[in-house]
Amino acid sequence: MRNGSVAIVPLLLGIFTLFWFIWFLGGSSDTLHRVNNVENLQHLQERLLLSAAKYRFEYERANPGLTDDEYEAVTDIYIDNMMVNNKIQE
Amino acid sequence: MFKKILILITIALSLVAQTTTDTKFTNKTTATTDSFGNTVFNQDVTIETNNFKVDNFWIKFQNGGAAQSNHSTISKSATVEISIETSSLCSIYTDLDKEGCSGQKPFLINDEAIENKNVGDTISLIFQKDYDMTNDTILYTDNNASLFYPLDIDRDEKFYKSQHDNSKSFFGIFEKIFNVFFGDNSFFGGFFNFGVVDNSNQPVEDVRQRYIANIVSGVDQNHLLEKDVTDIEKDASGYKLNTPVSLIDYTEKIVENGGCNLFFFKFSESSPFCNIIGGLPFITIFSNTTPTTTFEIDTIQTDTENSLITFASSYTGMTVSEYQNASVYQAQSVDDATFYNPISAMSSMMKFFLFGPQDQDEYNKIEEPMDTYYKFEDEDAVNLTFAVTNDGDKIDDFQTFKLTGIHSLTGNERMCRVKESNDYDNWTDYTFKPEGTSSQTFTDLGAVETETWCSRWRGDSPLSEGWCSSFSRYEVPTNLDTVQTLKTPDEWLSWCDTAMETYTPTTTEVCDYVFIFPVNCRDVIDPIFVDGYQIAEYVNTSKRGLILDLKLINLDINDPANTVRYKIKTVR
Repeated sequence: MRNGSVAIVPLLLGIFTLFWFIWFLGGSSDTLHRVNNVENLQHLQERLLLSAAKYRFEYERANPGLTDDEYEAVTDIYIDNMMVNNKIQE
Repeated sequence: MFKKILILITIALSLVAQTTTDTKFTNKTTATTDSFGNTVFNQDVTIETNNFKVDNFWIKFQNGGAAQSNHSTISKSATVEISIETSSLCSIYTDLDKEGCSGQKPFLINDEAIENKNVGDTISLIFQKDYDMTNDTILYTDNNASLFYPLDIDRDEKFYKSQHDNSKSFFGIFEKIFNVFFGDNSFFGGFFNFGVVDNSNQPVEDVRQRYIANIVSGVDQNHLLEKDVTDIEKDASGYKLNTPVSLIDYTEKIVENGGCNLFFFKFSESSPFCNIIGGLPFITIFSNTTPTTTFEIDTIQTDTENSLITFASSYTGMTVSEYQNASVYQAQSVDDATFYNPISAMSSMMKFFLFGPQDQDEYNKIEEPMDTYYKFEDEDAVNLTFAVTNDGDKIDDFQTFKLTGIHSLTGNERMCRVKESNDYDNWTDYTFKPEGTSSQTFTDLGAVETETWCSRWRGDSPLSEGWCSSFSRYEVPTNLDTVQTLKTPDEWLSWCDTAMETYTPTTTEVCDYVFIFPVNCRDVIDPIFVDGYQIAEYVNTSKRGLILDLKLINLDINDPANTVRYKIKTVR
């Protein structure tokens, strides 16, 4: 055996560490990823709150005479579309 | 077995369950008025997402994790504040900067005015700048239920001054609106050519432009009046919000002949309105000064009236001739007890407001006020938000009205005092007024033929020779029947008018003397003699008034004239 062939050891260690790191990351990101997605949804909801109110009343201004439930249904469809556009639902 | 089926069903359900989103509106509050006069209500909005699934990409590298996590409910709620502001003009001219528009108009009313309903729910308010006719400034009284007052509120220059791109500046739009309405390309520019000055004789073009802009598009968002904050002061030192606003004050002094073209709002020169106005208004009362042909128009009232007429008409898409043709022109008799239109109830007040407080006897010199009015239908009417004050110190509230009618009032005041010194009329000094004065004789002195008699009264025969002593000779007229006529007060007033039109005044210099040195010299007008009669006093005045018919309204979100603003208050 030639001297110096021991040098493969840190290389192997490095490769091992990399795989371990990926494995580690995968496990820990499970929670992280889930939280991020939920937070994104909540941010989207938060941003859509004003749009929903505006859409509902502007629709009422353009189409007066409907019932509150009807305005709410129209707004519901509008927000549903927004959710589809943002890949929250299909 | 049963357990297995249950598990299978649960798995199947959880796989089938779609992600859905519900939007709910709850807890709508009743509308209130905010501190700027806008109607405000709150509405809770909730967006709720059910069965939200998160796929885990990293599961591939993972040592035991869920491939998918499922959230049954994720929701957010907020309270949204919806404020409704009436901005009729900016709802039409959408290229106008929204910051330059609001519902607030530069008008102030007393809180008593809101209860001042005449017919139905209409409130009629008279524009008032000069309350007791003795003062050049606005006299505000804190409990008059019939008046509205103009306010001078500052405005950002860009929201009313001409800019490089005239079409998009506020002033450019106003110019367009006025010129289109009047069908005259130079109308708006020409309007500002008259010499309008304030109390200290300074030009006030800027004030007028600002005032008109505040009427037409409303007070801009940077200078809104605020409830319980904005003081009303007569000596405004600044115009920022939270500092006093001033009751506006300027007049137009015109040294020209009268005529309808002097008025911002032009009626046809041949219209009855113009006939009563034509050649008027002017006041000529003889005193120790040379009579002047200067007459004064309350320009603020004219500006207010014409801005409102143009604004309201433009909103409904009317031209000036359509407005004029649909206007009702009628006399308003003080004695008329039949209420045939809303304004009749106020007709006795009209004379008061046109001519100020006078003795009942004084009314006699005023001719019947005339009312030219246009009635706007509810759906076409513009909305105006007025500031309301309780005691005149500060703005306590706001009220929004629909402008359902604009009344242009005119009244004509005439009086002529004539002295005679001839031997034939049996009166010596008489004041003629249109009503309530009796007819008096007029003698054509140049045509009187006389005979000489010994007695003042004609005896059996005329004196032909020098019988009686020279002390008892009298020139007795022989043709009084033909040269003397009985003139009615109206005829006498016409005679005065003609006499004044054709008469060229002459003056004599009168000086005070200190020893032999003249000091304090002035021209004193010579007594005016026409046809042998002296005109001692002459008044021929036309006054104008403005009444608005207003209907108190709550701002409706569905009214296209209103602007709706949305604001998130709290997020939960």
